[in-house]
Amino acid sequence: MHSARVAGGRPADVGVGWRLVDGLISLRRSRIAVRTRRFGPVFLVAPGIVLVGALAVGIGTLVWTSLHTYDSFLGTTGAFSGTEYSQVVSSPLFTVDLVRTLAMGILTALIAVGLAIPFSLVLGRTRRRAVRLTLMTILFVPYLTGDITRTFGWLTVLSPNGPLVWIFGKLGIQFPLLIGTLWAIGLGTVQVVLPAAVIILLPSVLRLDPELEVAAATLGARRYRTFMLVTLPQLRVACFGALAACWALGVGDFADPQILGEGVKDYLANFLQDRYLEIGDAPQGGATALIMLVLVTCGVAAILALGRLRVRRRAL
Amino acid sequence: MTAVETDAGDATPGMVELRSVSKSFGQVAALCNVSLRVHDGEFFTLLGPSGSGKTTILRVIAGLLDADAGDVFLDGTSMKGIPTFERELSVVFQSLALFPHMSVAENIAFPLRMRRMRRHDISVAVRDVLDLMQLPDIGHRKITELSGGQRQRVALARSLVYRPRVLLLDEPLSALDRRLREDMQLELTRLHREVGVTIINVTHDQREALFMSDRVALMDKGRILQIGHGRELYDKPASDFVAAFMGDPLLITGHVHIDGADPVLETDALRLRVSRDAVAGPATVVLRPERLRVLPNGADEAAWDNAVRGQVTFAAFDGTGVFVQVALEVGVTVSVHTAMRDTVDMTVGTEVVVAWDVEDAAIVSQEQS
Repeated sequence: MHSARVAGGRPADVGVGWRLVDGLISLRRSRIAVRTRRFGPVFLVAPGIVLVGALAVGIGTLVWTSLHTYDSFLGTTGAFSGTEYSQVVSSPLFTVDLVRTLAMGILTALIAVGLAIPFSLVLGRTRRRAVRLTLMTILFVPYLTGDITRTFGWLTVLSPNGPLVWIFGKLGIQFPLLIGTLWAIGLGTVQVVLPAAVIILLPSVLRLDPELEVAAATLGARRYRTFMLVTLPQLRVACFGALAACWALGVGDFADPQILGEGVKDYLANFLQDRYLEIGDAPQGGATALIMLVLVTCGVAAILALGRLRVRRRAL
Repeated sequence: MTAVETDAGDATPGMVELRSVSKSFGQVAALCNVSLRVHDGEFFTLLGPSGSGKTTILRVIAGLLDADAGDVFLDGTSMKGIPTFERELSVVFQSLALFPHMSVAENIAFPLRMRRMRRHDISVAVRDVLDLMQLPDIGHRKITELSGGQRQRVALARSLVYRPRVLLLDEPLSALDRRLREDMQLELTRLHREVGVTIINVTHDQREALFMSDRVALMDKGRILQIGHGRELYDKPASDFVAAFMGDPLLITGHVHIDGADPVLETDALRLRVSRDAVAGPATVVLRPERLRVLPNGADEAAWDNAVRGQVTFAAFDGTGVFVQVALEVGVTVSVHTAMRDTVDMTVGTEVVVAWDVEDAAIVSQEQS
């Protein structure tokens, strides 16, 4: 006796389990499933998008808050206004902190990239595993220790009772006290942004063809000219990328001016914290944060645009 | 084995001279006591299989590697302690090593800028060398916008623009397809004739070496086995290795007996008449495919010094003639390249006769090699 067959070819009297399997197979073959599969990658990146999206919500809230008047005594929000921005911009402290932040941001970024170029060249080209491992450790350990721990480390090293003062004292040299100066802040900032510069430069360094430098030597170029005319131009885009990253990180630095500057050489991030926590004026803090955001974004865009500009040479 | 120098007695100072140069990489000896002399304006080729040490020689000459022992002389001056950028020679690498961030003109101008030439003079020199290379109007182009052949020419232009004493070519043609490679070989010989620069070329392609060079040094395992004109290496190989490397010959080893006027090489199965230059003793006969003839079975064998019967096992038209493999009745297979005009039936299985005269087969005395 033959049992009746359903459309899928399975006998009609099979159990519920098999029917469920058939149903799932049909669903998989259906148009809906095909459409859903197309969105698979979207589902995979969704958590990341949500996380980054939260930042957009935060910025939106800051914009909203900063564009309303605020009574810090009563703690009440008032009408829609640009007062908070004008108050921030007209503050003499803001101007001083702004100039210091921008100047130090540029300076530390330039120094960090300047140090990162030879560092990444040695790191990328050394054949000795021990050298590579040592350089990686030197580079990343400070980065992984955490901002506060690392900065307090500098505080210990540079303090009047620290090892640097002691060593130089033994050599008969009076080491200048750097704590509370821009030197100390600059040292700390360069240390923290250097790994970012190296990470950005390294792929380009690894892509360099060493034979080009050999060819330059056979064509009469000394080492310095080979570096300036052959190696460096090929790292140009990466250098500007590293510069932009270092600039963004340096301008946003908080711990170094706070701890190594001892609060007397503030950056905008410290000014922002003062508005929020010391004065308790959240809208003014928001306005400062947005000004910082615009500055960093414009700075990054300008640096990257500069990197993409073709150097015009006079025609041969 | 010691290096064989055909011009060892020549007192003329070479433009490039290597005296007993040795170089090792760890336990591996890349060059063993190499001596050679390249004359002014000569096109000299270092030929050999991979790992024979030819590129190492080039790098030692260029100063990119220091020799462990021996010395390199350029125009009679020792190069000990003289860095690459002061040697006034030029290298065209296999990868060509054109600077990707520079235009064609900037690449060519690079060595002139290093010599601090005036901008106007650079401009004129670049234009002249582009004309010489038959590459007008591409000075503004990026390197990535050029074809393979154009890149080769730009690399050569960059190397020739400052009139170096010696041009070193490190297999720059090896990456090209056959047609382009042959064009560039012609181009290089034309340039050599017009510019007159001393050229040392490295290649593993024996055809390229024979085609372009005034003299060839055949290398193996860090040693020079034979130096001479291409025809010399081809017709009078100093060893079995040289004979085997120059073409695709069949080597038959036996013993030469001088019976009256005609020397004869005897093996267990064969008795072949060989050149009158042959000396008694163990020797190898070199049978080159292009020097043998395939005759129909029953042809007049007496008209030839040597004739051996066999059967065609493979035959294929290769564009210039027919490549045939014949299993000889003595148990070895020989390759023959016949001219297109030959009308012998080459069908697989056909009985044929492979014939040659004594002057068509080189002989290598084993004692000599």
